[in-house]
Amino acid sequence: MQRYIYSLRLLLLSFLLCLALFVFVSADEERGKGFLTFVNDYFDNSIENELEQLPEPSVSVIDNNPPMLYMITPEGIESGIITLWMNSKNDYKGGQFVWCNETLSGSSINSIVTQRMTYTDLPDTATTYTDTIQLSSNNDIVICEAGKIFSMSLSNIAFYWDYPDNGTTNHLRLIDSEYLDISVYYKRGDGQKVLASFDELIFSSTSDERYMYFSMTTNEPLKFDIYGIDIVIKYDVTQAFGMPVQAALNRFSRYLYPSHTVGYYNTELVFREIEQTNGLLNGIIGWLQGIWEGITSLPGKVVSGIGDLLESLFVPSSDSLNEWNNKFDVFFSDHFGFVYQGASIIVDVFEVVISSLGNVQDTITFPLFEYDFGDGAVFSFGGYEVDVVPEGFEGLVQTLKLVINIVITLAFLNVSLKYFDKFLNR
Amino acid sequence: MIVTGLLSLVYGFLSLIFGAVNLPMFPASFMGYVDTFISYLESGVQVLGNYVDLGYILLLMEIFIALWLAFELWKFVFWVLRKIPLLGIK
Repeated sequence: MQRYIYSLRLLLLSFLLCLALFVFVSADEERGKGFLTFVNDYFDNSIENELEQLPEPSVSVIDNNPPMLYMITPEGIESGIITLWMNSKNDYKGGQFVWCNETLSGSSINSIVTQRMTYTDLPDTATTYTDTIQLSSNNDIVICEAGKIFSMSLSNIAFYWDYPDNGTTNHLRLIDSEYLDISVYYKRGDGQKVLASFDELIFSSTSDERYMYFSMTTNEPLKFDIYGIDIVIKYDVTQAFGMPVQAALNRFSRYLYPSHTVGYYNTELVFREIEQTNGLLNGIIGWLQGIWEGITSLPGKVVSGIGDLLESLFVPSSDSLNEWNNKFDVFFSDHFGFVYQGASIIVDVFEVVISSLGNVQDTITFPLFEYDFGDGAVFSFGGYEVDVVPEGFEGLVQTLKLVINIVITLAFLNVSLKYFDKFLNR
Repeated sequence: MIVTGLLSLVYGFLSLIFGAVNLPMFPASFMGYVDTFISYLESGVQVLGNYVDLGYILLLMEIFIALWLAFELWKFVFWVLRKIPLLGIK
């Protein structure tokens, strides 16, 4: 147990050292920036090394009426976020859709509705999934008219890619509950994107082993042209990096929106390739990895649990302490009279002394004392002001201050070391 | 929980012992003298500030009090933990 206590003390010392390092880094802005730059560079480089191994998905349009695209999906894609940009020809009033909690199976739909969106998933089988997503919109949304076009962002929809064992079909599945918003934008003449609305959309997709097809139609005749399509692919590594992967790919010859790729952040992809070539080994590795993660996470959980327990045992809330303080204050003032006042005077003295520490009074005014002898003679003393530091003595006073500071610092260090030795039982 | 319980215990004890006691206050004139004294003390401290860096001393005092309290808190925590036989801390 003594070792345990000693370890705890070492832990405390380590914490204090880390705190000192933090203070050291934070105290100077340039130094802090340098440190943070070093950390960022280190992690950026490690991410870039991972990214070099990743294939890039591509998207092409295969039909314009209704607009349809296909995307070549690299192995290992776990989920995707799709952003669709419509051609903007005229100004249009804005609005926003909210996509409520939804799954592909369509079992749960919360809705607030004025607009409706429907999508259909068409895998290689004849089964057709049809679902209705009900959307909310602002009251001032104007239903779009033909030729008044927008860009529509479905950037907050997440799709899940399912790779069956036979490797023939990529199923597209929606991830629910995490992505709740659909924003619709249009592009103004000045190029600025504006939040907008659309009428009704059927969003369908078909996928096979290489391609994923998205077709967009409206229930009514198409009221807008496809402007461009951004497809954001999200690999299943959010726990590792917490970032979605975005691949914005546009290949429309007559549409102006440039393609751009934000980046890839993936380690799972490489892992999946290993899994496909060597499933057994990967299974063993995964099993060992699970055990290792369980072991490594255990101390954190134990420490966290003990910390919470100790906190609940020893640390009362500030409200509770204030309440008790007021309670004792009232009790003492009611029952202890002048004794309480005496204590209050001491407290007042401390408060006055501490509050006046920052103020320096460099003159002293002596009080005026006069005594009248009665025959016209008056004795008078005081009433004049003198400088505390006489002229010419400023340098000496500064030196004196410095010496006093050194002496006090040494005394402080001495006392602190004594306490520290006492703490370590030395 | 422990601190709150102790405070409650102390309050109950004080109420029981001193509940019937009602001591008088100081006269107002006396408190006037005290106020004058405190104002002189304040001026004295401010004059002293010409020769001594009082802000620095206050800072060191705060650090010292924080360290002292941390050590005392450590002792108090382990005093409580030693009361739990299951932990076996001696």
